[in-house]
Amino acid sequence: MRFVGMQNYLAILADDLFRKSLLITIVFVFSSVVINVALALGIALLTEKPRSKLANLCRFMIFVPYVVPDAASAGIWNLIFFPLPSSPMNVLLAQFGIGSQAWLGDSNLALPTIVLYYVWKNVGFSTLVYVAGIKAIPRAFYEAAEIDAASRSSIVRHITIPLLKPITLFVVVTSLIAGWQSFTDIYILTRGGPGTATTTLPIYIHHTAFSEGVAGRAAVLALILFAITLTLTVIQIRGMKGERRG
Amino acid sequence: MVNRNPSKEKIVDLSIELLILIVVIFSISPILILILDSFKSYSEIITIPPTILPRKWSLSNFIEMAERVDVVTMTANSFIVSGSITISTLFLATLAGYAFAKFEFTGKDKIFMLTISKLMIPTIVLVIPWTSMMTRAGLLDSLLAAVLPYLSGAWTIFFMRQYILQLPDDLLDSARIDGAGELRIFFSIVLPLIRPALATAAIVNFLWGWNEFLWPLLVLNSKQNFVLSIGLAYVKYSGGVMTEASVNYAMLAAFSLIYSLPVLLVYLLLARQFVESIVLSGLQR
Repeated sequence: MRFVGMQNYLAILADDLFRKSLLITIVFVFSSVVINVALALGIALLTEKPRSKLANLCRFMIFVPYVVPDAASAGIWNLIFFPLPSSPMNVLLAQFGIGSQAWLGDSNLALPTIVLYYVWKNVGFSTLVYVAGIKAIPRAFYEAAEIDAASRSSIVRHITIPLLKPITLFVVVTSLIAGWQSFTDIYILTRGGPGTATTTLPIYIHHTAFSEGVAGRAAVLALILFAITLTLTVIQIRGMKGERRG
Repeated sequence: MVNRNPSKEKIVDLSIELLILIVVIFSISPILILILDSFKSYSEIITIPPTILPRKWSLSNFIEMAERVDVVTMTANSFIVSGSITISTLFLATLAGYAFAKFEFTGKDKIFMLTISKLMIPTIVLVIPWTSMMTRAGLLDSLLAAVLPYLSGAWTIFFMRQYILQLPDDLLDSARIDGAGELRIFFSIVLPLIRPALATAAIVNFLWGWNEFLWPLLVLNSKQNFVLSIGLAYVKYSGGVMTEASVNYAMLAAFSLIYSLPVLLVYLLLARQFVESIVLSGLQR
């Protein structure tokens, strides 16, 4: 082993691809987490009361994509978004007169397609966490609201959502942490391509360490990723302590 | 005042049902497409006009897949890897969790903090040192290397500790007074009481093992050592061709279905236990 001082760190700072992959990861993580959490809350509120058989069926079905192994579910997304006019998504859009797209093969559409994948895959998990959170809200809150003859929508807005704040914090932070680290799905979907359009930080670390074989530089990239995850975890722990005190 | 107009309520209920139906379709239609595609020929999948049901239900994708890749060996390897990870983790992590919950020893809190801080380290960070360790130990390209780092797990230790903490100390103490040895207490008193936790930990660890991709991708090189997850990457990217248009989607569908089937079957049988286990485990992978 040979110590090279700060050489690895300086090389990273000058690395355009590192900055690009960081930006791609931020865009991917934040857009998928925002959509995922908003959708999960919505679905949880819709299916919260066992209103009907359909609501129960929904809670069962929505978890299936999460249960399927990551590599397989990414394989499934390839079956729906392959870049030919006959792919299911292109056929669907053709009904509305929208032309055939290359999706994962198009450098502008590849990342949004992955975000959509990520929401499909993970929204079931977040929804079930919200459903559990809603169940834990004491009935007394709702009874008081009913005496005041509050409307359905104002009960949701002024009681349910504020009381779900700790759950929202949990879902947001765990999804952020998982998003920053996600590797398998993107590797199967695009391997970071086309070009470098979907090269997130984990994909870039893998590429640097095991395709280019620059382990020293990959180790620095890995430490940066670790620092980001650590920061998010600390925010989560702080936030949860705050909730308990508040 | 709120206007509780019955016909308006009905419309609201109906539109909620409609929204739920859209969510169900969004969640499940990709899975249905997977199942249907795996019985279609490649040319049927890529030609216009598309079909929904296969023109002819045929097993030829599965037969062709079995000729090109040794899917039986890969399935066996996946079961060996996930099974040994599960059994070993359940044994070692339960013992460790028991020690953290019910024994006093020097540096206990610090060792415990160190153990759970491992949960914060992403796998991509860990595999870099793991790879150089396995290279030096001469274990590259063996199933042993694929399971070694996972023989115990921080999450399971943490989970078991929390569960065992709830057991009353009196129970263990009275067994000690009756002259039971420590191992006997563990096996005949503690283990039977924590059976639900063991079931949860077994489901979670087996799923993680079945799902594991990055580490096997790095340590398993020869095809007879592949597990299903990297077999899938091989099927998609075989020949090193990376353009989307050259992927054989019929094969990809057949392989994805084989890989998912065991997990889907268990989910159908044990949905409630499954959901509880996974939601408990959070997103810690």
